[in-house]
Amino acid sequence: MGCCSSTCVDDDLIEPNERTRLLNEDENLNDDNNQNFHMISQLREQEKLNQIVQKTAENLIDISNIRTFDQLQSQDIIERTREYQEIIVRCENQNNDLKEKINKLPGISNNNKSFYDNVNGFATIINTSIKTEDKSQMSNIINEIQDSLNDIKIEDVGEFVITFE
Amino acid sequence: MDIQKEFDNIISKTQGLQAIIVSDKDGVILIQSTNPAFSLNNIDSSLSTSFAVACDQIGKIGLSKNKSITTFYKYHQMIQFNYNPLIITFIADKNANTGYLLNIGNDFEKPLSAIANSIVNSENNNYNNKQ
Repeated sequence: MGCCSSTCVDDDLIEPNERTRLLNEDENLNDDNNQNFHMISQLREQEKLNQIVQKTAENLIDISNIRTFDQLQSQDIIERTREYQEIIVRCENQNNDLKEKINKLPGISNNNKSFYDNVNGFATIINTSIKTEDKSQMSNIINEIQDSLNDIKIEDVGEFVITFE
Repeated sequence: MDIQKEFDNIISKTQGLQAIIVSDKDGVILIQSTNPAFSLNNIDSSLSTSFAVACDQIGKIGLSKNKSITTFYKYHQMIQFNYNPLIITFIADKNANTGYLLNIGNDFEKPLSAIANSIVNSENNNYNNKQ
């Protein structure tokens, strides 16, 4: 006549959807007679939910609160500025690292402007200033390359036919 | 202040650099040095707070903590460094040497760390006193 087939579906194999419980059913939750157990289970559940919320907040990229920042009161600004000035004066007396660093910085002044012209006006991203001899060497190399390119002669050899076999 | 004079010196030595600002995440300025021909009046006061938020959020994309952000505008470029709790901002002409400015900014980390640590200690002390 026919057959009626059935399958035994294991609950563990069901794919989670929006209604699937986040936390596993705890058998002890059904024990209504034991109130302490119930309370402890609720606390554990709350703790696990808080962990999930915290993990989501850490990984969520959200810049919507940029415009809603409260601006500091002027009194707070003045007080903080004063505090920072004291800290800076105290630190200045303690170390001279910054001064040494600054004194070692090479200057990039208007005298170096010709370097930018040599690279066709593009602002180059280099991390230190260039020595004069390196600059002149690079200028010479660039000029030689330009001369070489201008000396390339192209000869017309007629039609160039390739046969495909 | 000596540091102020040193920053003025850097600006005079570096072509295209218009301003150096050291501030905290709330925008309170510690040190500010500008080229006499340049004005900071047109710049929004939320410069540092916006950078602080952007820096925090962009650190979540999986490439570890953000160190600096370089932004290019029509006539200027801005480089901001995150040396928590300090933020260093360089404002320069668009054709200024970006790599050189990045190098200077990276060199500031160690010398300014003493100031940064003092600020963190001061905040912790204030917090403990309130408790």
